[in-house]
Amino acid sequence: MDKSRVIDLLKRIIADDLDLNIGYDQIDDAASFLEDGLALDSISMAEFINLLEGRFQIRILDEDLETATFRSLDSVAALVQSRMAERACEVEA
Amino acid sequence: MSAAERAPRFDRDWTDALAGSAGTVHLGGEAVSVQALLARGRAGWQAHAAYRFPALRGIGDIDLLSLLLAAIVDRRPALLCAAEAVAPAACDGTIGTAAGTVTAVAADAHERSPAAGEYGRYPDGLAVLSSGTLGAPKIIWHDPHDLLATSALAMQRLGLCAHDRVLVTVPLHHMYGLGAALIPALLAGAQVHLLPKANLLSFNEALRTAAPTWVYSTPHLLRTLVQRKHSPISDNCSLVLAGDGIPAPLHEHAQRIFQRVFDLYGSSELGVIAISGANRPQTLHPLDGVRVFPAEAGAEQARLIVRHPHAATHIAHADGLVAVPPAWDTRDIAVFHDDGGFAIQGRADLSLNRAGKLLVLADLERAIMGWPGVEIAVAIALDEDAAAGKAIAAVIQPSSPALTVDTLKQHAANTLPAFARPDRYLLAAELPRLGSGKPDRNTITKDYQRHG
Repeated sequence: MDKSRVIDLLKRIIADDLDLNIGYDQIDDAASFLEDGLALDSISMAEFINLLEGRFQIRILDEDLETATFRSLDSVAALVQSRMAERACEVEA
Repeated sequence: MSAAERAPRFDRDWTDALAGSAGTVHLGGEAVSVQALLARGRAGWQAHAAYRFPALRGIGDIDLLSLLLAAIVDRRPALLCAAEAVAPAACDGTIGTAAGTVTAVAADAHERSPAAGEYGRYPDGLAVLSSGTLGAPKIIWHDPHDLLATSALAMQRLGLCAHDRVLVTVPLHHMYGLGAALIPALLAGAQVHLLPKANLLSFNEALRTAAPTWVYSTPHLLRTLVQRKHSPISDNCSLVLAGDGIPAPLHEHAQRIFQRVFDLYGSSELGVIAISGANRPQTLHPLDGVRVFPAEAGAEQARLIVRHPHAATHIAHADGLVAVPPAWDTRDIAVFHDDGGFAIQGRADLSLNRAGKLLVLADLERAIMGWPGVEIAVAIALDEDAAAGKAIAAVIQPSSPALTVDTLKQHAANTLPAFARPDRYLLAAELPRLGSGKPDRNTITKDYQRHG
């Protein structure tokens, strides 16, 4: 899955599944999940991670949960792609 | 009434211990010693000298924290409230708006609290604005001497020391964060790491960078912070939990992750009242000098009355300014143990008589949250009769899509006595919550009554 498709799905999750009152069109590709952007609280952040895992069939590890990764949709998309690639390798093996 | 006008004190004054603390606070990328905080706070108060009783709104940065500590040490009146709170009209200024600036109190800020001058002279001391989750917000005044004394008792009971690194994930404008976490840790000379808006990311980073030996949290916050963890975060990290509705599975999960888990019970009016033994949530033990007893003498289960030597001095609410009585009715139902300990079951106003037995709704909710597939449960007493008495509905947010009403009924039949079984169940994908993360009981009840 290419990055633009991942970003599109991330926006769908944020707009449709999180209780943030923000529309798909209002989410910038560079949007941060932190205080300076979408400002996800503890509950929304936990929900978002769970949704990521379910929607992309990946496992987000504890060490993935870093502020730097969640500074933009782009970097979260990169993480998702990385985990999807790992999963594909595991399936092939 | 000023602190000097109260009865002479014979107990230790911990003010010097706080002022001389070797502790350091880590917040927002800064690490500042208590000495530096006090110097910064005193300079800050000079700049705000015109304010007699300002609101410190949202203690989320070093400047606000400095003012808070200086107010405690120098006994300067101030009120603590949440960042989003409307400053009460009793305050003549607000410090800590979005840009950290000072503003005069807005003209429309009179709707929720007593008007300035209504009671003549206000008490001295540090005041907190209760969250209002149990009714209208109240202003509660604490003598700093007593705040520090209770904090010292909590420090001693938990065994906090200068080698500790204490991670505080709860807000400092509540007595839990202030009087149970921050001040005890500073009195011990510990390193204190503050996470005013904790989430999975900031919590994980704090675990890595601070390697805390203590974490303070609430059940609702902890659930989101540790749900992905299944092994101990270190071999030397203890957890302090405070708040109602700690279901057994969450406690068991916490005990797998933390070396020791302590339950803490307290209130905005009294501060810390009791703390459990490590990994023994069933029994709370009062702090030294605190006396607890049932509202009905000799009862094993009754409303909990507390005599606290360091309680708040005054409370202002819609009916006026009152002195805190020596025996405080917590309005919680407790079960009293022979050894002097007790266990909290839930709020008295959320309990009812069913088939001749007292059913505390919080107790029922905890039991339901122990069932597989249940994330959150809120029990509601309905205005209609059922076989056992007043009917009860359980509104449930599932953690598993496989959960059905039939499954819930089966769990109830297997685990609950007949008088405690809900008459109705409603599954809700997402229950409304308060800012604290607790389920918004009022909204859930209204929604249920409106739509069923």
